[in-house]
Amino acid sequence: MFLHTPNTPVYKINCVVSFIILSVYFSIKHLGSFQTRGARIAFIAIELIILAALAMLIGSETNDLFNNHSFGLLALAISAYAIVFYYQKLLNPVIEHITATRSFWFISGLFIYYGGSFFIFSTYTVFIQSIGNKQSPVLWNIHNVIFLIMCIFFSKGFLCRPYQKT
Amino acid sequence: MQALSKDIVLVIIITLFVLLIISFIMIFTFLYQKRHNNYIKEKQLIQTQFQQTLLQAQLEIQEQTLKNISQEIHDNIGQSLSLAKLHLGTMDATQPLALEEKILDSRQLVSKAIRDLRQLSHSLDADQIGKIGLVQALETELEVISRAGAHQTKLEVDGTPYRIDKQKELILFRIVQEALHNIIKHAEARTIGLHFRFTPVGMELRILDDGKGFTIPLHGTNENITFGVGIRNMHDRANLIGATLHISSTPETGTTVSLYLSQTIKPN
Repeated sequence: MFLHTPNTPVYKINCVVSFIILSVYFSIKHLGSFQTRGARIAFIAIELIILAALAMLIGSETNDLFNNHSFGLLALAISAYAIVFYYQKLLNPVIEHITATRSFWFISGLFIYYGGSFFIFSTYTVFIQSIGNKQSPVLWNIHNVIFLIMCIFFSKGFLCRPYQKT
Repeated sequence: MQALSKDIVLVIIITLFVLLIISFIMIFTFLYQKRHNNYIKEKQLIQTQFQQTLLQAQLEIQEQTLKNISQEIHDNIGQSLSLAKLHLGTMDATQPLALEEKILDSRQLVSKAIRDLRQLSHSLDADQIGKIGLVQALETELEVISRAGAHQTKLEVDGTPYRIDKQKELILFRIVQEALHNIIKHAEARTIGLHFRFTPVGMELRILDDGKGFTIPLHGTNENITFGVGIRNMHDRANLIGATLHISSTPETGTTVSLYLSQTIKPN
């Protein structure tokens, strides 16, 4: 009986929880690098607006199909966070090897996963509705490959020895 | 196997394209950081070299100052005091006219010794160049050479002199000191000239002599290696502060060392 229960609500929870956790993570990473208090407030405000939009989208999506709109928005938001991270690194290059920092591997993994899967998330439901379940798994398999790449980046991040300042 | 729909193929292509862009961003950031790190390391290395050269120049200046002091004490102050002592020792109270003359001479000799000592005490000041500036420091240096009697010296200044960075002044002073030392030691010159030209865009300094000159050896020859240690040092030091150094010399016509430093004006 449990197997016949739709798993879409789990995806929805996953979407919101992922956004909250990653927003907190990126806030910790980014807020310190913003020069003005206004920029920090704006960043937090944007996070809250995205969260509200995400909640509205999830509320409007049915439980029968994959919540492609909210996942698309989540992917877009995380990709934007990652771009801000790279932009900050280019603006304020630090005297350390970037590949020796955990955040580089974590954020690169997230960027690859969410950036690469954005079109898959956004179009997945459309394909299920139009051409059915026969071909759609191809896309989901590609998503899985991208997910695997993210996991490799994460393991690299966990294993890398943080740069020690002399 | 069923062919994939065109739309799915399109999504796959777009996804691959996005992944390509993401990879590009990551690689670009990595390379940029690497380049920046190399730049910082090179900058630190140059700064260290500069500090080492500065320290070396300071030590050499101190060494040269001590030599000058020793020479000054021996040639001038010692002479004056010996002569004064001689006068005092040969005083005869029975000859009042000669006695008065000897007392006067002795007073003059002691006064000269005091004057020379005062000048010497100034040259002992470690930050003399920083305090009085390059032009005046070199003027003093020329006076010392001139007092030795073997060379006539001449200092010319075109334009309004301005101060440059203290550390650069110190390096420039050491370069000129080295050039003057070479003239005294090797050139057999009668006249030594220093010519400053100050312009808003930079400062030119020429050290001229009317000595025997020399043929500048070609690069890579053994002669160049032995000849060039002092001159290579001068070139290296000039390069370190962003100045250009040029030496022109032909046998029997003398030598000219030109230094050019372009820079921003530092207000006094």
